[in-house]
Amino acid sequence: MKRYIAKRLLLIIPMLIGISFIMFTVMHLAPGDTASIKYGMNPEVSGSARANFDKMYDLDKPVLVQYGLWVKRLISLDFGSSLIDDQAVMAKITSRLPATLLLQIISLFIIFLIAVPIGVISAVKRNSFFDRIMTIFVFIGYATPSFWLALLLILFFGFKLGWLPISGMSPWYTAYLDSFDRTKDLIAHLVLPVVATAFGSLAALSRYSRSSVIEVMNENYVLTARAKGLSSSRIVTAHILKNALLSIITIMGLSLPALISGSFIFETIFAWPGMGRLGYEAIMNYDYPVVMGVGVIATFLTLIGIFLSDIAYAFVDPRIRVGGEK
Amino acid sequence: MENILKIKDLTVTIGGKEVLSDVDLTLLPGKISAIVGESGSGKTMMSLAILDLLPDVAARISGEILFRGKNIFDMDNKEKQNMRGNSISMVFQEPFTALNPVMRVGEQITETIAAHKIISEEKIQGCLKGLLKMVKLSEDIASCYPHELSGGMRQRIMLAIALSCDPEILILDEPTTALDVSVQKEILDLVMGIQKERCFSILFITHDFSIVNMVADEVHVMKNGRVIEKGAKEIIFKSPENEYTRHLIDCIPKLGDERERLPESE
Amino acid sequence: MNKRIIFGIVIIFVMTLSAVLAPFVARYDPLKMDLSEDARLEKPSREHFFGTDNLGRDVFSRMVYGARISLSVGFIAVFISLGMGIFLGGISGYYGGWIDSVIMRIVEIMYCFPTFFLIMMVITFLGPSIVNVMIVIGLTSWAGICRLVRAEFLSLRERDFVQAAKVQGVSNFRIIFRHILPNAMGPVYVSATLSVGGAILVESALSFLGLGIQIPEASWGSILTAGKVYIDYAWWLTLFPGLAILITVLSFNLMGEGLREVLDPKLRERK
Repeated sequence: MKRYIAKRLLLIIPMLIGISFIMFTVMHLAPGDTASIKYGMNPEVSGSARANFDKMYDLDKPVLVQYGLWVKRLISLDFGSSLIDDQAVMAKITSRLPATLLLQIISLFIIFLIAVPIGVISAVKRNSFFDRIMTIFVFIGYATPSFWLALLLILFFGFKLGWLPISGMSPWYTAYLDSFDRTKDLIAHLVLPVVATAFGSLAALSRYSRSSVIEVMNENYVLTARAKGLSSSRIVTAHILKNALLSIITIMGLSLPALISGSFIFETIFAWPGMGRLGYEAIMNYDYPVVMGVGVIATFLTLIGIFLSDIAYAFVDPRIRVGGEK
Repeated sequence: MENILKIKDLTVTIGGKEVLSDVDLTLLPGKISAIVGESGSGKTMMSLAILDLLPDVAARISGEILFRGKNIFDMDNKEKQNMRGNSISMVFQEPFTALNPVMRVGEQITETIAAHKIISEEKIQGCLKGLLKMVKLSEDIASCYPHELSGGMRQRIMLAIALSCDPEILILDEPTTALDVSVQKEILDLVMGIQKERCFSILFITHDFSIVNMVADEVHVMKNGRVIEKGAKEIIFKSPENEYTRHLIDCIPKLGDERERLPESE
Repeated sequence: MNKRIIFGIVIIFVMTLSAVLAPFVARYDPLKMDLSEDARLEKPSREHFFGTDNLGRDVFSRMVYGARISLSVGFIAVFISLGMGIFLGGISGYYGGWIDSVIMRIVEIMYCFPTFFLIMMVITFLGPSIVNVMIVIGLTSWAGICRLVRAEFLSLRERDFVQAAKVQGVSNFRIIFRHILPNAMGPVYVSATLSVGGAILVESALSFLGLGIQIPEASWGSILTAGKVYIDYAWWLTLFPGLAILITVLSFNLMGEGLREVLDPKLRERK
């Protein structure tokens, strides 16, 4: 187990190198005199910010040196300060991170809690009415532009029915509420962003759960379990589910990048005060240090998430947890 | 003599292909019947049919399988569950894939007992110890996962599962094919020893006539889904009527003969 | 023939045809504004099937012209990613060894990236335009096809006809592209068809965020930007472009799934 974790951690290193390289390349995409072109686009950039930026990215030094310095900054999480308000990028990000994590983790739970049962039931009752309905749902889920779904949610639940708040996380009046009402208010604000975030992955994961359950159902040990005379509920819960969970955990890890990507859209639409919205605003303002910082942190988060899913996998699979043959 | 299992005119079609055609077979209490045939002759299909575990996709079945006089195709799910693993149990060919990789082997044994007998957890643990002893494994194996065990050990676990509820019929589907030659003999001796003690019937499915020679009382030879010859072992070995049977007997490797002779020379 | 494929092809054909024949299908100039009070944000009517937008432009006409953008982004982006995926996957699977390891590491990195933000970043640095959107979507979405082609190559390169070609001294390049590739294309067609839908979704999201098509031109995604602003006044600005995206993507996905079933008989039985 320890060796497995160490190995997984080591695998992250080449990933980080690759990612830092891609980020570095992206940064140098703009042709010609990078700095001046960038400032030219945004009149708000102040003179001192410009000097900082030049220093920050060592644009006068050779490319390799620039890359080395860039990696060094990356490791110490120093992305300089915003071109707009001179605040440190990392401070800006840390203040926005909790909101994003809250939204993402809740969405992840919802996705898991809904998609896996749907997948299992569809697989066990293949070609039933339920399975057919879910297949249609999955096809529509795949094809729905999720930001459009977000707009429809706002239209119906926000404007037509007036049931739920459509933007923000904790408005000014929450300061005057007791903790119970404040939590209630927070949940109300969470509903629509969570539904929008979860929807796309819901379709994908329920489809994937279905196929991995079907795959496990064809395994020999399931035949053994049936030949033992176990009830079908016991076969599903004790034998099929845990094995199917293995591939479901992997795919949940792999769906994290899509979830994080979604945060840039949904946090913007629902005015959610998280990192995604920060990134979008930075892009719109050509605030490059912030853009780079958000990009790097978003990728870090994805890597951590994938690493955690690897660990979860090891916990479910005794072949990794307990080690090799005796 | 009273039969315990009787198969009448069993025909099974999968995907338009007849895998079993008009099979008749009778199993006598306490006797070991072998079904011999090459792969693809329908042996495994027959064993799955007895437990009504044929793949449900596109399988069409006609004929009867009577267990103690009752057609298993007429049983409801409850009755079938009661029969499987309890009255009729089965050991599969592949010990490497037949055990659930994420469940401790002890639990894979005890869950069978728990499914069929209403007894206390304490007694179940007692049964587990007895079963492990019977298949000549140490008690602490119970907390292992399948991947920690060798093929032979896994097959012993399968055997313990199959025997956990004192079945009347044990179906062995090529139980030693996936194992090393030396381990094969151990497992066979183990099974034969337990059978002598407990006197259940065995349906032994194999492609290997030398094993048939060692274990069987009666022999059924199968080819292309049909039983082409059957009878007592001695008669079939001495004077096989069918060309194909004769061919299979001639193919017994010399090594098998030696294995037979060895105990005598000791 | 497969029902899903027929449904997909019919819708895609109708969409493509109306996009090509946009000047004949659209009744109004998509860019013509009418800022008079009774022309702006008009409900759907016989004159304006899908209503008018905040600048008095006919939404239906804008959507017909927008189809040109959405469809061509879909096709061109997938064309680019197909080229990259086939090339990299092909040499990776054919040569193996260190080439394979390097390419596979890159693929893994692509999988771990929040691709959408990468696309957003690159487009900001390059400057937003629809051409950049096509290129960047193409350059960031080849990993799946690369994996697929590699897997096919790994199994195909051991086959007799490849060995025979090698013995005859056929060049590696020719073996890869003339002997193996045609046999590996089945799953690639499926994946490419599904990717068109994916690319259309990404383009619509980018245009919605203002990083794709630039005003005054329109794609389905950018009409939704106005839809968001006027969401409490004009539901038609939101409903119709979104439906157009959904139906188009659905058609490509149905066609892809249908193709998969036709090309993989094993799968048909299992389902």
